Amino acid sequence: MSSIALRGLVRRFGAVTTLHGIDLEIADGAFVVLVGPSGCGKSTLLRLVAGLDQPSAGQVLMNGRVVNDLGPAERDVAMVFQNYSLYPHMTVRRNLAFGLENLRVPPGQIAERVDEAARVLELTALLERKPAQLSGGQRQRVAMGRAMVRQPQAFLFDEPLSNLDAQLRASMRVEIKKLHRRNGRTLVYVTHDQVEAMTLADIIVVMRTGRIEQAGSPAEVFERPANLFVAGFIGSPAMNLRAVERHDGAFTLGDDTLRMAAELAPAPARSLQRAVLGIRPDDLRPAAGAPVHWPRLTAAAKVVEPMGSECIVTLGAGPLELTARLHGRSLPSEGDALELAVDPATLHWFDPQSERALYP
Amino acid sequence: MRPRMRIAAGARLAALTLAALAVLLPFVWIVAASFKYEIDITMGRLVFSPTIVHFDELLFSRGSDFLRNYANSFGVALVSTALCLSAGTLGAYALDRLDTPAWLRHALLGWSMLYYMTPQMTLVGSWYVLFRQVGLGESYTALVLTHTVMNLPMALWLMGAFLRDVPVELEEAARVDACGPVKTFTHVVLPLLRPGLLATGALLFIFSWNEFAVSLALTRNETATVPVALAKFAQDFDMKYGAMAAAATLSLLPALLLLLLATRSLVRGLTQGALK
Amino acid sequence: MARRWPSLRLWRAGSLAPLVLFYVLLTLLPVLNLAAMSVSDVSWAAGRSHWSFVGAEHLARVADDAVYRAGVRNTAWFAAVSVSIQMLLGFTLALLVSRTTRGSTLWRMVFLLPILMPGIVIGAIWKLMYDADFGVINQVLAWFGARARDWTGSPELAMASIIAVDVWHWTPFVFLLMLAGLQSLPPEVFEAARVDATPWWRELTRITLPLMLPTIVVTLVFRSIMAFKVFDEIYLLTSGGPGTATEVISFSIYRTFFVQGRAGYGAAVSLVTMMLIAMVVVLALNLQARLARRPA
Repeated sequence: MSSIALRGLVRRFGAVTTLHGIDLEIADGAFVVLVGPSGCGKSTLLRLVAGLDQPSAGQVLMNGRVVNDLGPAERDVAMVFQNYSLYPHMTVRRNLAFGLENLRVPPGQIAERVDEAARVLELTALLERKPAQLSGGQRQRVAMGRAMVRQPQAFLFDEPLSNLDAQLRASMRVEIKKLHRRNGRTLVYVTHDQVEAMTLADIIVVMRTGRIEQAGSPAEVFERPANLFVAGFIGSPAMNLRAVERHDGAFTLGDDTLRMAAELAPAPARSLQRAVLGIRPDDLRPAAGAPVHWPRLTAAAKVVEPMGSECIVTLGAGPLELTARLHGRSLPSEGDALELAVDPATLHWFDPQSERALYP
Repeated sequence: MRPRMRIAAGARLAALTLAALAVLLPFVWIVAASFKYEIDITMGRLVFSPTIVHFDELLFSRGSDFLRNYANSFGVALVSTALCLSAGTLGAYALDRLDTPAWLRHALLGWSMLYYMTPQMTLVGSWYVLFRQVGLGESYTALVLTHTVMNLPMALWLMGAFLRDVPVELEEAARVDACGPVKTFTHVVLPLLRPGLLATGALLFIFSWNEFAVSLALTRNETATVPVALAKFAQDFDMKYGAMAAAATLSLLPALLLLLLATRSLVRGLTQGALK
Repeated sequence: MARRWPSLRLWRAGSLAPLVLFYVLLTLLPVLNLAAMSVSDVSWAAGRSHWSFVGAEHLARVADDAVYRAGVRNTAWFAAVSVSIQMLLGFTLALLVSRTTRGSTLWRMVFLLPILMPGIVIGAIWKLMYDADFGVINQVLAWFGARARDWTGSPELAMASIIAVDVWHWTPFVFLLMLAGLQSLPPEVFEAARVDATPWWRELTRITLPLMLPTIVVTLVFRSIMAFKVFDEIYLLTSGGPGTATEVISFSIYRTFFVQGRAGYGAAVSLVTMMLIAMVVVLALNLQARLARRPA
């Protein structure tokens, strides 16, 4: 059992408040990813969960017990640091064994666990080397191994992949996912990369300036973002968020570039004079063959970025710019006029004042 | 461009060589003097036939205490360096990593700086009186203790700089690894401080060895250190230049040894402080 | 953490204790003792000390002490001139040399030598060199037909001779520090300057010096502090003479305590010295704070 609960966590540094009252329930065995831009407080939150830091107010609970006064070892958590933090003067074997030695695990068991972790992470050949003799990816695996051998109640990862190159990052993502599947323990993972978040998480927690903007499954967060920030943060390329105005019972985007009847908008949005419309780049389809009730727009292709079997097009219509992702092998040329349509059911509406999403 | 750059490089080399000669010449001169007969020195002869009579007299004659002075210097330097390194390293660690309240940190570092700025002589008089009153006047203990405290600001400062090179995350990883605070210091931080300890220790040893002013005031004949003995040679009315030169040469040995064995260490220690 | 906190506090106290003990017992206590001595007459009889209260008598005399005043003046002058020369020479040499890095360990060994030598040895060497009769310097002058001079005995030359010794002693160290500083500057900045065809004097004043400022300031501060403490060379070469030409603070205090045996007065002089230094520190900190507040 390794459920984690955060109740009203606040962290202040002098006059600056880094976390404003965080409430979060993490189920036993869940893979939770804290994601957000730099400075949103995700690493601070992780450190509070780890016990490396004390909250200014609020409680951290594990398995229903308040653990505020317990250190990381006493909470039985293991952590993988951003810069790995391997002990430079110890061999890989000693790095892996150090925690177990401190916990007075019998030497036979230590050797067993170390060898097992080394086997799983393909470190057996490197056990007698020192961290300085290892590559970045190897160091990362040692850091993971160090956490693994502890067989903790929960794993905590602090941006472990940000120092690796793209290719390595992709393969390490898989390793981490495998680790989670293998031992089923709760895993709390911090990253600023929303792609990592989307691919790894059972639950994504989107944070901004010390607050949780939304917590939910990747599908939830992608398809039903709770507010403007989440909508713009999740998804690559980012969702198009533009102001629309209501004239004569229809919402217009830009200089009448897109026009749609108010009835096509969800009920809470219909009566608004102004709103923010969100269109995912994937949802802009070629108008040819699209149902009649789909709103249409015509724009010129200003910039075309080919990506293999698809391309990202920056569209321009007057002062308005939109991003679209088009599939198919044939690319539009720059300057081409494109006619696109969008399914009104896939549109996202936001209240311009509260920034909250409006759903039917 | 090539020939001009070569001329410039040549000029630079010449400037360096000149400076190096300026540094080395006096040193070479006194070493040479220690092998000259007294008469050769006073006549200022550059060409001479070497002799070891001064060394002989210095080290082995009954009238000379030099060997004991040498041992005194060595003992005092060793013990005071050990004490200074311990107190300084532990102190620097506590101030930087153990959540010392800000007022205490400022007070200690501030006092360190203030103390470092005052000439040693201002406290020597008081030291003399105090030590004498507790029966430690002119003793080895007095010398060791004063040398330790004189070098403490430097030790604190240097070890603080080396400590900052050890990332805090390493200590946090140890905490997560169920490592207690003392064990974190001994097993994680200290091993990484070894080069810093060596560099600082070497410097502290040299500074203690070279110390003159306080040693002059707080020792008597039996406890005198090498610099004090040297000063006596230089002060005598009937100056024995050869003996003085020989004593000077011998007193340079620790520095020379450290120089040959640990240049990088010494440079690291000296520049570490200044560049941080 | 609750379980570990008591032991953490103990550990913190334990590791600070040696440091604090040394400072309190060997610096704070002596200062208080000095204060007590400065208002007393201390004499020794049969191995025990006898104190008698004399009030502000000693402290008042310090103000009138012409020798002490000369000492303060000389020390300040010595520090100012000697350190300036060292900084200039050291920096210039480092600048000239910063692009040559071949065999750097050898150069480093040579230039480290002077500060690793006991001050007494340096004093002894220069005493021999300065000797009016057979010193090398007068010999070399004789080759060029110049007159031999009394370097340490004549009032006009004594201070200059002492300064020369100090310059010889410390310039290599300043050189090493400046060199290390220069070599740690980012090369890209200079490459950009070269691409912009910057003349050497502009590169020096607009790029090198501003970037080197922290290193220069630290070196300057440290060397000045050390220069104020000068003692060894004075003791060996001039004993403060001739007259008060090379009288310096440390020597005045030493003589008062250990040659003249006047502990009470010596304590008063020590206290006054410490107060002077404290004033300088306060001024310097003030200046630094004001400079920091000034808009760049």
